[in-house]
Amino acid sequence: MKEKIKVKRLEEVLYDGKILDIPIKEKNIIEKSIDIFGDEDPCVVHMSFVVKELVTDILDLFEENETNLLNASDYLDELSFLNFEDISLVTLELVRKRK
Amino acid sequence: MKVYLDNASTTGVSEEVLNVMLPFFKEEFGNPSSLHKAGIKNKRVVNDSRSKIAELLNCQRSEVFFTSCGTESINWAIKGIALSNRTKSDIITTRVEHHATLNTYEYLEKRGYTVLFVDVDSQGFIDLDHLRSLVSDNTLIVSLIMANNEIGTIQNIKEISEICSEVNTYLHIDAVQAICHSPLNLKEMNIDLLSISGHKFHGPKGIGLLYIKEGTNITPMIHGGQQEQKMRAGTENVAFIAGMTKALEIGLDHMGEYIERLNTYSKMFLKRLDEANVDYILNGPEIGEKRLPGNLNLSFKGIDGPSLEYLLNRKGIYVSTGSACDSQSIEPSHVLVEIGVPSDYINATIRFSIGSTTTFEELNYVIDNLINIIEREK
Repeated sequence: MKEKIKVKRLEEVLYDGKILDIPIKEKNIIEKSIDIFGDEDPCVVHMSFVVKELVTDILDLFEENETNLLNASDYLDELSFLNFEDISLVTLELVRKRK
Repeated sequence: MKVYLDNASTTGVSEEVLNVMLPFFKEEFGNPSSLHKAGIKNKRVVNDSRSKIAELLNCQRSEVFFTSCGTESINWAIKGIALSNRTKSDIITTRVEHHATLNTYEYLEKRGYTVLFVDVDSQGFIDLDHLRSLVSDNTLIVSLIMANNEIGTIQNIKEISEICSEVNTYLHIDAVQAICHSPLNLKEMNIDLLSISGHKFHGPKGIGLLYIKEGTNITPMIHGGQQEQKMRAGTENVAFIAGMTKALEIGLDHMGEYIERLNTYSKMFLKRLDEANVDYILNGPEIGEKRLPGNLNLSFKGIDGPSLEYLLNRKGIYVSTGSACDSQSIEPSHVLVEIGVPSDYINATIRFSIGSTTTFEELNYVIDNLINIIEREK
C-alpha cells in the first residue's frame, strides 16, 4: 500500500502524498470500526486496519475503472468518507510505482 | 484459499477433542462437587484428567491445578509466591516475556518488590552468567518463558534451574508456547511452578493449568469453594478439563513427527525466500531443536508490517505482526526491540506460525503471495 495519490479541487492541490495518509473523516473511521469490530473506541491498531479497508475501497475504484484518474463527483457515496470540502469538485490521481 | 498461519496465537479444537467435550455441555452437566451420580461421575472425570496429565508431564496428580487460562496460571504463580513469602524482595525475569509475566512483575514492583531483568542475546537466549550474578539469597522468584511466543527461542531450563537451586529461589516456567512443541519432563526440569494453556495445542480456550511442586509455599488467588484442593475456587469446567487432557495426550503422542514435519516446512519456506532474493532476517535461533517448530518470525527490509499483514489477510493468509498497540502509535514488539532487530527491518515483522494441519500446498500459496506482495511494496 505504498501508492501515492494527488487530490485536487479544480487546480488547487489539496493533498499529495501516501494514499494511506489521505484525510479521512473520523466519523467514518468510527462507523467502519463499529461495522468491522463492533468497537466504537478503536485502538490505534484497529484504527489503522480500518483506514486500510477504506483506502482499499479507493484503490478498488481505480482498479475497477482501469484508470489512474477519478472524478469524485462520479462516486460521491463511495468516497464520502474523504475529508475534503466540496468533494464533488475533487479529482483523485493515483500515482503508481514504476516497475 | 484460506491459510491459517497464526497457530502460535491459538489453535482450533481438534475433532477428537471436541467429541470428548460435547457430552459435558448437555447430558453430563453435573457439578463435580455434588454428591449424586451426575456429580460424582464428573468429579471422576476431573480427577482422572488430573491423573492423566500428571502421568504425561511426569509429576504427581496433587501437583496439578486447573485454571481458566495461561495468564491466570502465571498471575497465580508469581503473585501467589509473593503473597506467601514476605522475607525476600528481588524478583527476576527477562524483557522478552509475555505480558502476563511482565505486567504481573510491574504490579509487584509498585508494591515494593525489586524487579531485576536478565539479559538475553540477539537470539533471545538468556545470559546464564548474568542470571548467576543476579540471583541471591534475597531472590524470591525467577519467572522465565520456556519457548518465546514471538521468536521461538527455547531456553535450557535445566541449566537455569541449577543456577536457581544454588540460592534456593522459586523458579516458575511459562510453558504456554512450549508444551507439545518441545520435550517437557517435570521430574528432569527441577522447577517449582509451570504454566500451561489449553488452546495452544488444539484444546479449548478458557482452560489452563498450573503445576505447583509439592512443598511450594503459595497462596490461593481465587477464594470461594473447596475445589482444586482448596487452592483455586470455582466450579470445575469439566468439558474443558477433559478436552485439554485429550489435546495434551494427542499433542505429546504426535510431537516427534510434528516437530520433524514443521521444521522441514520451515526450511522449505526460507529456501524459497532465498531463491527469490527476498531481503529478510529470521529473528531468533536457526531452525532446529532450540527453536519452536513452525515458528518463522521474519523481518523484511523497508516494508510496512501492518500493510503486509493486511495484504496477506486480503489473500486469505492469516498471520501476526510483531507490533504492539501503544496509546498513539503502533510500536515494534518489546521482544524484537530487546533482541536488537535493525531499525530498517523491525517495522515489517511477521510471525508465520505453521501448525499441525498446515499443508505443503498451503505453504506454497503463502510464499507465492508473500513474494509478490513484497515485490510490490518495497
